[in-house]
Amino acid sequence: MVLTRYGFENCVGAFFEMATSDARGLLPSHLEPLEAMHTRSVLAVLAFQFTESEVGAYDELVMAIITPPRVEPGKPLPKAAFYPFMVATSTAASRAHAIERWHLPHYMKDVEFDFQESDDAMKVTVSDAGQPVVELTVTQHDFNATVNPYHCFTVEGDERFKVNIFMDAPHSEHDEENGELVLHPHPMTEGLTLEEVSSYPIREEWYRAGVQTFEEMESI
Amino acid sequence: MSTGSNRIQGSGQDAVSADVDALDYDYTNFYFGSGDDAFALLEPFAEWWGQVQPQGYYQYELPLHSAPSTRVDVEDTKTHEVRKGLINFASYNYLGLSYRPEVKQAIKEAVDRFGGGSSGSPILSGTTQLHKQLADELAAFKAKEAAMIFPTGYSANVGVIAGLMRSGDLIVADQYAHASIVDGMILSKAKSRFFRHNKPEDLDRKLRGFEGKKLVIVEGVYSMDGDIAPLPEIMEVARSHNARVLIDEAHSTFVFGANGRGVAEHFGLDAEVDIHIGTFSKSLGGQGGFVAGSRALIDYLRGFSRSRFFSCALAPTVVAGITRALQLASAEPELRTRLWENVEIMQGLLRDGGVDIGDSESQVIPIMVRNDAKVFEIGEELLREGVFINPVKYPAVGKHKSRFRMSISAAHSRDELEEGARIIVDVLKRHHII
Repeated sequence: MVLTRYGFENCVGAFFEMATSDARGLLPSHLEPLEAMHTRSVLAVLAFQFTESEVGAYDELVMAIITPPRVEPGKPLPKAAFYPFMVATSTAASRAHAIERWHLPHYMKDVEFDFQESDDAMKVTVSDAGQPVVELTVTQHDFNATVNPYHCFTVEGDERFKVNIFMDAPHSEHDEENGELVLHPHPMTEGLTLEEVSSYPIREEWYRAGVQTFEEMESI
Repeated sequence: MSTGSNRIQGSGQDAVSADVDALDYDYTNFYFGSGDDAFALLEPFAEWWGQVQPQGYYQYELPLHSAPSTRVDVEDTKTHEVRKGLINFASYNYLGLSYRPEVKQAIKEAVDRFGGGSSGSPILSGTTQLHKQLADELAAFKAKEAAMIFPTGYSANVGVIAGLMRSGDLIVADQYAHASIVDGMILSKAKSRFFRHNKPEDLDRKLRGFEGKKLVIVEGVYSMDGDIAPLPEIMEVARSHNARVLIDEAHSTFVFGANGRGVAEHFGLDAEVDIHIGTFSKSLGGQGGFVAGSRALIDYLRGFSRSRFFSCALAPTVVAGITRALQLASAEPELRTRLWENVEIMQGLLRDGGVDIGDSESQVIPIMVRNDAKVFEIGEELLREGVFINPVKYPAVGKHKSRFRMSISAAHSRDELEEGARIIVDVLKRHHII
């Protein structure tokens, strides 16, 4: 099995409630949103500082809908599953690589990333031509070494794919609702009714310096 | 992070070895799965359950071998040993009425007269004169024109909400609303929104801009944190949007207010709230639920609350016990006084011991552990040491918000409160939680 590895300095992310009607609009027909509660699905916003990859160092923003994992007998249980509907990066090479290999939908311009770490929080601002698009603040909890498995779903035309992703790094997660999200109207946030996205997270996660590994993509 | 015994065993050829702890997973992981067989999830679930059940999930559904009084005999399903005389902080029996001799006598008399069950829907043959008497006495107690009885508290919320609201209407509920409220919202097909817990300003945002029928739903006491709804501010916001208000007083009826009518009475808003829901299973120690309000509301719901008229009516024996318990709760306000004294004693003992009890303002006291991996282990030790109390962890509460949910009763003696608090503090210290 061919593995693709990405070294990172930080990966911070958080889950926010959003309208299920929007989630259904963004998902392909074979995927269901996982609802946090009735009519409220889950938007995952993740920001990576990649330091090592086949296409060098770059920063990346992933916006995804949380979906149920494909639980199968005899297979390891994934921690979560998601469908990325918008990825934005700081380099053209990283976009070309992720589109070709993983069929991930991208915003096709370079965007700017500003990672500001304070005592117990990381604030990430993603801007396009100097205008902020996403402002994400994630707070930390205790860090524990872990390897967490995830399912990532993508599509290309009528083809459907799944790839297993593993996050190997010191990991912190909590539900203290301390972080924050501000989304601005922009082509990257199209499909989201912004006033329906909660400003506080229901889950905050932080992976410090570690490795993200993709297994081979499989058709489903 | 994990111990070997905790790991999920996958038989597939995994290119990366994941460090997966079975206790990190929960029922939500088994909601959807691959394949076309409706039983597809049973095997993965059984594999997971086989690993977590011996590690603590067994602490739910422990059979009681005695009445839910302040001391109980509980079967430990791990060892099959019956642990006798545990101090009971797990039951809802807030006023200690379920086993009062007067209540048991009323039940015995009802058995002799009416037999075991009601044998019919309440709108057909299931209503006895006992049911009518309870509804009338309940309406008088709540100072409302009318009341209606449901077979459970769950069915009361489902039946009232889905009976009143329709597709195209808007329901806005507190994000911590009970599952029965959420299920009522789903069944109603109305547009559903949730506002941030106890934040009237967020309720205002969620109501803004909607034209049409609107219902706001809150609980008097929230069952996981023991905090209460800021009802004056909620009412102000709701009224400014011309929205009706439903309050679920499952944990607050017979506890709050000068007459025990609930949090609405506590805030002097008893007459302002439109719909009052409650249960018989908490303070009255019985079973069932009710709605109280205007005669017009109850008469309307009688024809639209499907969860009521498509269920068998409560057994007359249960109704007789509830009615007697209601009479005792009304006639003995000192029960509430004693309950609040006990709440104050226990909160003081726990706080003095360094225990984090959150923002509890009621007889429901969360004992915060904030260690998801340890809460079952601590629960097992508390059982061995002589305390019966419910562990709560994700997904019932958030990650790192694991806790024990303590219920205080008017029937607890000072000795029981002191002994229980001492055991809890000692065990939490032993586990370095405090």
